[in-house]
Amino acid sequence: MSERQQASRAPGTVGIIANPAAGKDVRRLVALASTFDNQEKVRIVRRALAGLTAMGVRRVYYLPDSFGIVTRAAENSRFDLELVPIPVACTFTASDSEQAASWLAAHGVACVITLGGDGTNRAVARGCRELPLVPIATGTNNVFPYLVDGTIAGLAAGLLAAGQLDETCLERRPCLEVWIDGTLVDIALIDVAVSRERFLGARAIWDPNTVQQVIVSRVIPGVIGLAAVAAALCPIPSPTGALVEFGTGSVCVTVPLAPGLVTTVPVRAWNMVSPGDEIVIEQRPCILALDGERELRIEDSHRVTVRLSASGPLVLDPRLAFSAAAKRGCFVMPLTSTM
Amino acid sequence: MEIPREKLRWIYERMVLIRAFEDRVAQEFAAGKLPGFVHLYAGEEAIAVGVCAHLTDRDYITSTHRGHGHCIAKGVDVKAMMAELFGKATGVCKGKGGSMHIADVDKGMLGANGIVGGGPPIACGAGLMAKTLGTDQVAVCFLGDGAAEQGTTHEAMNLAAIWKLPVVFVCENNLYAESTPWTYHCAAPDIASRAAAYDMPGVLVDGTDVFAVYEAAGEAIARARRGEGPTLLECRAFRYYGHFQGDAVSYRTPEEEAAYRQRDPIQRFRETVLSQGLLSEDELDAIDAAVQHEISEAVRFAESSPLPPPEDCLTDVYVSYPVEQLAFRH
Amino acid sequence: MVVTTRVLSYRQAINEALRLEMRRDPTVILMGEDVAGGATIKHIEQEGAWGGPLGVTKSLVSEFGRQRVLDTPISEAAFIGAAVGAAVTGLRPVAELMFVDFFGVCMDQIFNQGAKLRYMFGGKAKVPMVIRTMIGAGFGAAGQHSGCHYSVFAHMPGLKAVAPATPYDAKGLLIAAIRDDDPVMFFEHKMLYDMTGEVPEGDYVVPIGKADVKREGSDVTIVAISRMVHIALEAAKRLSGEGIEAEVVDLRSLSPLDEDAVLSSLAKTRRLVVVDEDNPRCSVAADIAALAVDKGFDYLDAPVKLVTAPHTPVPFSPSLERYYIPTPERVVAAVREIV
Ligand SMILES: Cc1ncc(C[n+]2csc(CCOP(=O)(O)OP(=O)(O)O)c2C)c(N)n1
Ligand SMILES: [Mg+2]
Repeated sequence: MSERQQASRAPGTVGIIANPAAGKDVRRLVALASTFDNQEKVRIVRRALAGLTAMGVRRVYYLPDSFGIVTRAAENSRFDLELVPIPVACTFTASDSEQAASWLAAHGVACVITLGGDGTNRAVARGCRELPLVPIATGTNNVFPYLVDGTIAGLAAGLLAAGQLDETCLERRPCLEVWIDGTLVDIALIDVAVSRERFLGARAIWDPNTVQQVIVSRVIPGVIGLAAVAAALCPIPSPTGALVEFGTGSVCVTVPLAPGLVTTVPVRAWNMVSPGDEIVIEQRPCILALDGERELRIEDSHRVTVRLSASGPLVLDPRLAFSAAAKRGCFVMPLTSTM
Repeated sequence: MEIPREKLRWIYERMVLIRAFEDRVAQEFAAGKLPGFVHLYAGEEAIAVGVCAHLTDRDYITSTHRGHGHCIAKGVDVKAMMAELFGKATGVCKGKGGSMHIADVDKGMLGANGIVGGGPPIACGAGLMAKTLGTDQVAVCFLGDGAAEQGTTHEAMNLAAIWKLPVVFVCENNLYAESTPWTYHCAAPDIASRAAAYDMPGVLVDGTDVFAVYEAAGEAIARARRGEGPTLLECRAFRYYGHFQGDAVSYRTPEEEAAYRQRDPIQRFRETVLSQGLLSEDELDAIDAAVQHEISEAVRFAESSPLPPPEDCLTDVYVSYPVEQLAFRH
Repeated sequence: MVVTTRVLSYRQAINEALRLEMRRDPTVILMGEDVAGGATIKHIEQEGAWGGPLGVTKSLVSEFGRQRVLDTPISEAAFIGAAVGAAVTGLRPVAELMFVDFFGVCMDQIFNQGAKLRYMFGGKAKVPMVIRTMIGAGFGAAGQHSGCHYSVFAHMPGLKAVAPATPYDAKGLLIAAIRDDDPVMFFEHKMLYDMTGEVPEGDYVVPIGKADVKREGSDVTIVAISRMVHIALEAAKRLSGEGIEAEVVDLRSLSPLDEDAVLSSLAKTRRLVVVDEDNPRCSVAADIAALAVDKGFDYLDAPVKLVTAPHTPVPFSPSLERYYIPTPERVVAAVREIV
């Protein structure tokens, strides 16, 4: 029995993972990103809870965080909901999100609503296995999540939890696997950048001159970040990924590398990458940035490969969910005498 | 981000110097040799050092009651600091200020502060000087999470923003103000985001990672020098000792402390530079040894220095004033 | 009725006064930084909470709860001002200004608001509040944590000011202050907290505005405030060995001032020394001297002598601080000059 089927036996429960640190990194300083304040995340979760309760969800598991986003969201609101903290030992680092996601996946909830950007969703995706994500964009770079109101995300998640949606509303996203010496150590959802930086430092990447190459999981037009370079070179949205070598030689592209930061990036070469393809990372010294954040320091002796996988996380697309639900008449009720 | 080798050595040396200074002060205090209140900075070294790495003696900082680390990072002489804590005539403030008011204007260190929230307006003043005189100096204001609730802090951030002053506000969020957790004293415990209210960038930084602090602070300070105005950095870290020496720290759990000690800034620095082959183990150990020596020397110096003569109480109150009116009436 | 007395410390006496008044009157609330301690931290709710940095309000939160013992942010202007507002509208708040030196942060709320409201409102309002605050040198706490500064407050119309020197007076005066319908500044000397003395059980009041003769004598009157009462008593003991009998008048209240007590002692001894740890300019000590000259001129057989701190901030170094604080030797010397 698949985990999806298991989940459907326990209808009515949903998880929420809201990252209080999302939307506050150095790109407020080196670019023109907005600060995503946590009070706004509270309001988004509050609306998501409204959507969930409207669809009959009665229990929500949440990741306890230092800000108390979810508990604050439920304060002073008369939601008929049981809020249950996910039992993870909080370290207040990204690993909390990963642990929480794997707990949710193991405990048969229908889906997990996430609040954050690409980085937050990467952490959740590391732990969530086949558990679908309903990602609400509250990060700096938001290629992966939807720019969607909390109400809509809550309703969509609620529909899924209520068993009103089938698999056609779920989208399987690709991901990039990072293998070091034969072990899968991490994943990226959008892009892996090979950086000449020596330090993880303030994490974000905003200077194209420090980047040697970028591998994107999918070419998506209209995005911000390193993935925008691939989109600028390969105009057609394609199910394949791409490898872009930075450096003088071929062309320059003008891209938004961070919110408000439009730069010219010199490109030496680029190629399409298909699922299953592996790219060996030769650059040393080398830091790998995953979804725009410096994450892994690579030692000289390591053998590092990046592999494009077609089987990344499952995502619930709110638009597909709403049109499927409308087709089934989920929102329509007969007129009753009480009206 | 490139960090020259010499700078890396400096960063390490300053961090271990702060740690060793504070550990030694804790001992001396426990032995009853230091009067007054002592607030220790151990655990938060990466913040002061990562920030001050971008400053020269001509730049200014304002500090807090937990000011030893800021002093050391700003280059204040450790012997003179130790002597000050012992209340000796050779102290950097001639024994008049003590731990809570330690300062050295020659090094651009505008004082630890006994008043929570006392520093932010002063930093604006230093920034205003730089702007008025057209210099490229900057002022960095260190403040605690508790100080973020003080009216002066808000007024200063607004002032710095409307006048585009070269000021960087560095909020050292160590999760507590005395025994009060920041999640209680802060209505929306999210200090970085307050910057939005004052139209300045607000950035959340891992204050236990000196490289993260170094890079973010470097950007903020460069922005200030370019005349683009103030920034607020919220650096999260943890203080290893109690609020002051003598605090039994009943409000924190051992698990919480253990979790934070896992992220020790000095340990993290060592791991990074060693794994990158940037500095060698021998080199780091040699710095450790030199620092221990420096601290011992500082204590020796402090202990063997004389107390100030009592009448020194009457000096330095004013630049000029009738002396007979300073002394006692009878 | 038999009144039992026991030996309590000054700290315990203050704690007991607060406890009794809070039991008696539900409108009495406490607020200040860490007056309960560890707000929201479950494991120390009953024990282990600070009760102020020097433990003066310890365990009051266990009896009265956090509704009535409020930890505040470090926002003196806001919470002292809130005490004013609460007092005008029906509570009897006791706010703690941790060290008197911090008055600069919140002075407007104290002197423009709390002190003047009643007058400006034509007597239609009252402001029954107490500000407890720590004063005094001797701890090595240096320039911003060691001042007395009560003269500043005694100077201001609308405020009352008291400064007990013994556990007995501390309890009785604090009860009186809480019951008083005007704003009262209550000055606690940090070097007296561990001092012990006989304190009756149950409630009793030491009236505000009444000085106390702590030692009778015929040759000279020594008027002293707070910790200086003990310095004066020590000096009196030494003088007695020389055949000079000093009368020590503990002022207790700085505003209103017990003029009769000072003048009647002066009438008896015809000589006056004032011992005050506050800075001398425009001070309570200077005010007493003015009183003696103004209303007691005919009693005076010698010039009035002031033994005070110098006109400097409080220095840190022990050698300097010892110089700063008036000593029995200096009191003895002053007496010798005029007897
Ligand atoms: C105006 C003022 N109010 C209160 C105090 C007492 N006090 C000293 S330190 C402190 C807590 C400060 O907390 P935070 O700003 O977070 O700094 P940290 O001690 O954590 O470094 C308080 C309340 C003070 N010194 N000044
Ligand atoms: Mg703090």
